Amino acid sequence: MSSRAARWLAPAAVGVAVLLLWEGLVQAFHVPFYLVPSPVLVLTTLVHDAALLFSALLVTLRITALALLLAVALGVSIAFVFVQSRAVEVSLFPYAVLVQVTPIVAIAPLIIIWVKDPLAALVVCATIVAIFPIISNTTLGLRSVDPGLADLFRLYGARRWQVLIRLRIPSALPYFFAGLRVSGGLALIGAVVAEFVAGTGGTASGLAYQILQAGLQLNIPRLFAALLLIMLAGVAIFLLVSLAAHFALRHWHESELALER
Amino acid sequence: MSVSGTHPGLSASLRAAATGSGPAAGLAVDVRCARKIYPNGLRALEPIDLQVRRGDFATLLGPSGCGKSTLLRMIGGLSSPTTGSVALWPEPAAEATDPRESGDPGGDRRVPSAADRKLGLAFVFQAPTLMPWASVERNVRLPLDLAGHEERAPDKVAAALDMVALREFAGVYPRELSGGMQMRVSIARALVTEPRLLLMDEPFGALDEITRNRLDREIRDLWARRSLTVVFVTHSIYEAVFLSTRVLVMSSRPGRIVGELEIGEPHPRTDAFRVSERFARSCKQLSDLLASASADAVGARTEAV
Repeated sequence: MSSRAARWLAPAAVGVAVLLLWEGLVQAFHVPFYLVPSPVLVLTTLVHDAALLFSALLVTLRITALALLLAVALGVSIAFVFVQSRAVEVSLFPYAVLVQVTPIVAIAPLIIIWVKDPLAALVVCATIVAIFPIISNTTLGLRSVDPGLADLFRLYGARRWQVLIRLRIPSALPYFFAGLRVSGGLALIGAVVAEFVAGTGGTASGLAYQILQAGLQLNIPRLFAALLLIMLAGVAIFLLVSLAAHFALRHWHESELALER
Repeated sequence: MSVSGTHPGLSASLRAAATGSGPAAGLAVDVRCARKIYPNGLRALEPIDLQVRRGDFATLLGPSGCGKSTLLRMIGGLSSPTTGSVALWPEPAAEATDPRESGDPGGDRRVPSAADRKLGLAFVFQAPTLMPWASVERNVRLPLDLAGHEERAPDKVAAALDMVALREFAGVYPRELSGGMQMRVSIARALVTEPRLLLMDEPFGALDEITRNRLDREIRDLWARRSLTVVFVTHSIYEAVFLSTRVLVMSSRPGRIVGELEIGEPHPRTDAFRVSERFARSCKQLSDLLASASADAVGARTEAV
């Protein structure tokens, strides 16, 4: 068996084993479905409630995508401002940290009150959760320029924008993608948490809202099905970002070269 | 500000060299009383005078930490002297200028300007210093791109790659090349602007001896073919003797030039030169100079204590 196949087969085997064990235990001990539903029941619920759950998934994904886009646009812009001068970075970076360490559940109610449009309010919350890794990683990347290459650019009289485009941005790409990988997951978590906090004050249609409702109605199989969708969405986002990183860096960066061998 | 009424400084350094291949008499590099003191007080270079004639292959030889790289970076304009001046291609009048009269870069004291750099100055660093995200071709093209010289760039890149025999590797990424090949890409990048002055900072120090000897031969051939002026930094006596028309011996703490040796061996120099008696004699002379310099330094330190 090749190592490539093993990378997929080994975790798949573990997953199947756990599911079989779960199904077996639920059946053997007659666990009621309103406590722990069996995997088969979760799947049939997913199919049965597909219309409801997938439209909810789309709402959550939309919030996640908008938040991630906003986090990238804002985060990268802020990083560019930071690297213009040490003074700017030193003055502003603590506030970026402040945003990072403030629990979103604590400020989400405020944002939901302040921002009229429910969708916009949720996007703002998720952006706040997702933005910090982009700022800190991109700033670090834009600063991590090979000093020899910096000398070379200076020697040939490169202008500031030439250094930015030809040297700083390519040097920052691996760092940016590492940040994006973290932020992708955080944007989803941010979207779900914001929906939870917003409750009926939010868009009242996302996956988190369905989980809340299912919990209140003790519809545990549907709760599990919604949870499954959130997890799958998170994995899909991670894979998408990894794929983007792979295409951007595959020719030269060590992190992607290891994948090719 | 122009300087007049001064005799053109045709100093002893301008005496005709048997080995010089420069097209015209004159200086390529004129360093006057340059001294480097770092902000922490470390004296990296004592006031140094260094004149490199056009067409010279001048080598700065010395132990680690003697300031030879600092001096080379000053010539390249990557570091500025704390006091003194560095001029490239000085006009005869400027050669006679006393740098101590003026502390203003716009006046007599000249440091290599951006115009000087674009006008045929190239630097080869200790490491290949290639952009890992760009192909060999795009790496070599970089100086042309930065200067906005788009026209005929592909031809120039191809010609530069031909010179280092890497034409067929144009589309390859640096990581796919060996260390020696990466260094040759770095040399091609330096040559693509057709520089008149090539500064090399221990370029082959990290390579194995076989590769190093081959690249030494190649660089020596390029120097002769292109009538380049080269300032080369190394700590290898053998490399210095094989390559140079002139070797300047430096000593450390603080860095200064303690001696100089002309190597009269004509071009082309083959591997036979490496095992000749003349080669051994030159090596011995340089070795003695280095030894006495470090003995002096130790003596001076002992006295100070």
